[in-house]
Amino acid sequence: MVIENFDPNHPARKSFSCSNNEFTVYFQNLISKDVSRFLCAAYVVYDDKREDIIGYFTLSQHAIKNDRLDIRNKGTYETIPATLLGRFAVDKKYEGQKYGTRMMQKVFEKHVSIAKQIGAVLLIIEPLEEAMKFYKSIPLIKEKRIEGGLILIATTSDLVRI
Amino acid sequence: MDDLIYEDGFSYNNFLVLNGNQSHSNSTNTSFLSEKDESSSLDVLQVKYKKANSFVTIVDHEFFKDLYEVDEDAVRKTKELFNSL
Repeated sequence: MVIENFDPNHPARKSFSCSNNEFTVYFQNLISKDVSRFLCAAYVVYDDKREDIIGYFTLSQHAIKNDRLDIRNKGTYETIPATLLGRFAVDKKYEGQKYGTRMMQKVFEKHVSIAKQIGAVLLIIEPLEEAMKFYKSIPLIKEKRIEGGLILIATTSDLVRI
Repeated sequence: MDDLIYEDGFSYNNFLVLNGNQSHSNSTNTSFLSEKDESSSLDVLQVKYKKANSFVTIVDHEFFKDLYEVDEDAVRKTKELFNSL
């Protein structure tokens, strides 16, 4: 498994197909614009020969107002700096082979690196319903209730210990 | 964690004020830790503090407990999960 920054010209890009059609279309046709506009950083996971694409994920800087979290005391900081895991997808060919979990390990590593450089208290995930089971299989990812629903978070304090 | 050190005089309502030598009483909801209490509480919060006459360390106890208290069990289980890959 090889992880690299998104390469718009990789020949396997157009054959990538995950179980969520929106994420497939996004990767095949739209992701370049977001990356070129610095809306997100995109990472692609290849097989060892870098011939096939196993999956991809995007990260962005994020912040969440502390009154959206149900923390017991709101503290001095009105917003909590965070990293947002925007999209996370594994090609259908590689489903059920633990690649998603291995990719999450890479997400955690990236997040910790980012947090050490510019600060980020949380990794935040706003998951699709069908992905909840996967994310919940990773013990450090916790549900957090906010206005309007649930998000998933992992704290940097926990992730630096992985 | 040096960024948690504020100049004395900061308004620290609802904060836990850690200072081995001085008292600060401009808060209605402030706890003061004695010297012997500091290590155990700080261990939990994983906050280091600096002693200086003109500085105090202010820790928003509950806030940091929610976001900074390490879930050792989840860390261990996640490590095991990743090591099994």
